[in-house]
Amino acid sequence: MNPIKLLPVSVCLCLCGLFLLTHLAHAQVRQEPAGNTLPKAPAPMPIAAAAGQSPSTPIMSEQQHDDFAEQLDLSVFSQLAVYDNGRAKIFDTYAREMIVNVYGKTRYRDMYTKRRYPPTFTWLDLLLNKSWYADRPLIYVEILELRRALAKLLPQEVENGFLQWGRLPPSLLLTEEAQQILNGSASDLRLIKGRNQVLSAWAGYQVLPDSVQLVSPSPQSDSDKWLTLFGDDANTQVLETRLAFMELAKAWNEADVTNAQHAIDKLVELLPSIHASTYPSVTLRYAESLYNRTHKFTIGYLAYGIATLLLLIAMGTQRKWLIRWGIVFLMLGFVVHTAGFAVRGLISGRWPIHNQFESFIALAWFACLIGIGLMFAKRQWMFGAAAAALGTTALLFANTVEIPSHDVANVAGILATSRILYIHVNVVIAAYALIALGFFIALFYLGVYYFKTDAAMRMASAGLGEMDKSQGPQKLLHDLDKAHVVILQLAFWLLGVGILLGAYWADHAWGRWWGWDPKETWALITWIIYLIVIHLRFGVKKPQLVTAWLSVIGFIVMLWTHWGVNLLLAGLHSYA
Amino acid sequence: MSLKYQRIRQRDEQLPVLVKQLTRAFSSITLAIIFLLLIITYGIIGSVPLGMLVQTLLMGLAILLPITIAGIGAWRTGRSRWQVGLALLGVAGLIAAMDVYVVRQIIDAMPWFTRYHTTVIYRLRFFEMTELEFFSWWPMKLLLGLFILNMIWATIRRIEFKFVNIGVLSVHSGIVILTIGSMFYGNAKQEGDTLLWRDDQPLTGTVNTFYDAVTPAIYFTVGQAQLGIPLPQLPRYNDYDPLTAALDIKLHETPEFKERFGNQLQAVIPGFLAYAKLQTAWMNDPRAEPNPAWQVQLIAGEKGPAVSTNTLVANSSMDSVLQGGSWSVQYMLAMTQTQIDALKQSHKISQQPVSRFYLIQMDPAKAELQLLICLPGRDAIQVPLTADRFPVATFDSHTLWLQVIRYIPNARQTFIPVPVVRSERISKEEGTYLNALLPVDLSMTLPDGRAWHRRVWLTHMRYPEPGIADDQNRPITLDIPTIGKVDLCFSRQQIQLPFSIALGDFAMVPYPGSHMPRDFYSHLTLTHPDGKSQKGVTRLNHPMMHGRIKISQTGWDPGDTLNPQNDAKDQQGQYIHQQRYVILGIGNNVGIHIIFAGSCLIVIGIPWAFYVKPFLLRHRKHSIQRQLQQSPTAEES
Repeated sequence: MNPIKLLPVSVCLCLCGLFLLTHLAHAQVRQEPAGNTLPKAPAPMPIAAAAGQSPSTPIMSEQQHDDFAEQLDLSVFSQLAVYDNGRAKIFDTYAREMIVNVYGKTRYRDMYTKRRYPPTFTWLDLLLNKSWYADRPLIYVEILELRRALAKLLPQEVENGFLQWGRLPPSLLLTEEAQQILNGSASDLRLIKGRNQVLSAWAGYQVLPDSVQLVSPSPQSDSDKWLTLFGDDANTQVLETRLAFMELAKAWNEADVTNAQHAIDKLVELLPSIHASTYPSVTLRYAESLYNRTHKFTIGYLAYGIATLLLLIAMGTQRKWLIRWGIVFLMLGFVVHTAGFAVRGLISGRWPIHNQFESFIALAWFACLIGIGLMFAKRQWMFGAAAAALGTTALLFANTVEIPSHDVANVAGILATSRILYIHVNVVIAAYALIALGFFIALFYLGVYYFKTDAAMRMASAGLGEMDKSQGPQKLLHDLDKAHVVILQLAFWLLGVGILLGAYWADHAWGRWWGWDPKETWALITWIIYLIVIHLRFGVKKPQLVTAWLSVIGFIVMLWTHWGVNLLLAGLHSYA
Repeated sequence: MSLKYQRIRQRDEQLPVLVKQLTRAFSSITLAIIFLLLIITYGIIGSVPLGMLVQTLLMGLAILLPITIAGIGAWRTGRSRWQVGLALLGVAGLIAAMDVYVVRQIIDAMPWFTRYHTTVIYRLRFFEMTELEFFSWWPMKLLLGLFILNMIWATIRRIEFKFVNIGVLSVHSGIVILTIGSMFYGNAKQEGDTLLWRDDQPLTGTVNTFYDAVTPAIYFTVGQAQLGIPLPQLPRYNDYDPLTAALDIKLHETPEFKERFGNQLQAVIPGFLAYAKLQTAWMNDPRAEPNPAWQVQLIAGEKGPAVSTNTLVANSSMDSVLQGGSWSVQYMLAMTQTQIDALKQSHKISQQPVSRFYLIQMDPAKAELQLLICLPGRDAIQVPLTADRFPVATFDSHTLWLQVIRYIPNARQTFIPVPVVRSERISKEEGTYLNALLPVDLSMTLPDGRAWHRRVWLTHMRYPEPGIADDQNRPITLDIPTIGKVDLCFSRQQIQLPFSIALGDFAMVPYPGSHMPRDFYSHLTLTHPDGKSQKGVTRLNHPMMHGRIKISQTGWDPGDTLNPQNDAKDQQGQYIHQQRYVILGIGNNVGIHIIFAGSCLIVIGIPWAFYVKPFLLRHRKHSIQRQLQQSPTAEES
């Protein structure tokens, strides 16, 4: 039996396996600690006492704490607004960001009970019940060398466990020896960065309720600053809310679910009504909550993934009904993808293309949009399959890897005050999207060229919208090349326009239109590759094959220009 | 091959062989692609650090070589024998994985890769260029020139000058115009920045100069007169030992210097330290007052390496003590036995868990030391220090020793330049001179025939302005015989403006409810020598234009953000501790319109060539077909 006949089935099985493994790996990543093995520590060790300090005395038992966390309903509270780091966000977002800063992950997991807690609960717990965490592994220490040095100060029986967990107890950092390690002289930049990370986590742990800005600005006031509940200039409503918060603090410390829930409900009612006109709308807050819960809508990869499978199987088996279902899932994925893009724009108050996370999502979105557009316009399913595959890869990557700048934040002034920048970035992203799409078409071409078998021909002809394989390989290759060239020509033009628009912006922003910054140099290199593609077609024996291979190279170079240059080469575009 | 080119090639046959080959070569697309590949190579070399580049190439070769060989092998076995092909590729994959492992080991073992991991080629000693200088260097110009020549020649000989071809002709013309425009722009470009104080500040004033972005300069100020000498030959990334006079830049040979100081004073830059710090150190100066000190070393382990070298100086409160986490060593001078006994007593009642060691020199005239050991929970022990080392602490079964190196009877504090190790350098600041140290040797022969010589180490001042100087970055004042007080300052070349600029007001606009800047507004007044003035505002992305000179908002004074008083305002509502000055980017923009015209031609030409031309050709083809169908055939006629 010719193994090539099994190609579509093999590909499907591989992709299914990949999905399964990814999910398993994802689940592992979320559940396992940073270390490799779980420490054997049945109960918190009194580290503070060992360090010669007064031991912390949490008043609730492990069971009480768990029950309290279980019974408390914080779903509406987590959608209340809080002002932090230059923007109003919901408490859920704020809690996630703060816990990442302190703990290194968005969800705290107790080393002893192995239980994971929702971010809003953990952050309120850290605000109102700090002593609970004093001896628990909480403070994330990123640099291993520093983690080892600090862990050495722990009692020997727990040192290894804490080290493997990757977090250290806050009480340890209060000891004189730890302070010496963290504040002593150092000149190694990596170590200094590591210390700053620990000190930042430590500062996050020390945040007190009176510094949390929960009250939106008064419409009567000239100032647009958010207020805390404990300010001197509190009005009656703020005082009432403050009392509710204090009631919450008391009930929290006593693990009194009824009173705590009562106080939370009161806060939920009072906080948005203090200055209702300046408080973020319910819709906006709900949208942000949904954005967080869906992992920034990157779960769209599931629909894209199913669409990829269905379209590939449909093309391999010539089943039209599968094509229809593939398109349904593709459109579903695209709707989720679009929603992610739109909600990000809504939350940030700008067209979200300003940092690596945003440009990555936008690039995939543009590619899918163009792919879907071409699929419908030309009735060629290959474009749909390419869009679905690209969407799957991009959203799966964004879902599993923490791409830099994934949190919504304000951007540098230079990026916020130019219209031409928006056009430049969008055009370049669209060009990159086309290059990515062209890469998938090139793979189709190379597949047909090198595997001139029935299965490959069937798949290619179905991809080109012909469900019968009456046309020969030469015609198929010619059609594939035609589709490929349409994409590459558009990519070449848009990239050229994008680069020149960038030069125009640079002339305004930096006073020089071209500075041979690594990003500029590599954008030009990418453009030159496609310039070569266009000219090589005039003078080689197999222009179509050369185009396909150069498209693969061009895609790799584009990835380097878009990602590698930002991450590995220093330059003016480091924020892009 | 177009018909036009076929005709031209036939005509070429009459040319001499060499001319024919040359003209054909420059008409070929292959040569253009070779030039483009060379430009790509130049771009890669000029943007990727050498260590990373070689590492990537080695890794790429390790992976690709076996797979390519196996791929070719599989191909040659016949397309139907997939099993053999797949098996070969599998083996190749395994070999590639092993190769990667071996290459990784080699890379890890070679310090070259670590050393050059962030070093781009233009930073090497031979080059010492900025990124911009490297890409404007003659090889790149030559490549671009040859490419343009190739393109012009190929366009003339290959492409028919017809309406349908206007797209490709437009793109080619655009590339030529853009390249020529950028060469013109690069040669005429002047850019830099200046610092301008707000009009209510004590240092307020107008400026009519700015500082060049690239070229360093040295300034000699005598009274109110300032002499600036540009130093375009000064390196920026590597160290040049002044002891061997590795640089030897003779400032006194420049006409400006001769004009100001005559032939009397000689000034030489003997070396350069690209990234270094001036550290305090103690040296023995027989001419100085007696000031006993001991040079000591901390040594890790019995025969371990020296951790640090320090000088203990009894008369300096800062330098009399050396301490670690759980130990301290203090050097004390002229102690009586009664005072030592008092120390022992105080140790007895002390509860501190720190080991203290006292190096006591009872007679300042005798280089003899007593060692007083005060360990926690034990009685103090006093012994004469006969051996030259003693243990001070134990960590993980390793002992830290203190070794006494030498006695310095007349210690005098001085500053020594110490290069900063690579791991401690801020990469963004490398090559900017911000952390550079510039030695300047000044010498002259005094009227009485004696030689006078001084070496000063200058730190870099980005703006040689009085309000900007701090303890680290400031001019150095020298009292030079027969000349008087001279201020020496290492900064950037000053460029004259045809007008003066004054800052009226400045505002930073933050994001609502925060301190994060969203925009900046500088209200400027430009005044010409003839008294005419122009007011305007420059803000982010909206530079103020004055003729061909562009003034951009590039920096501001954030004050001390850790100071709780940073937000304080005066009665006029102006910030007292922040937003006191702005930094304006200033530059000319000669030739930008040529570049813009070239860009427009490219942008318009590409869609014409890709979409309009095929449409026109299709349209023409159809109309010809229609005409043929409508015209009577031979049989009909």
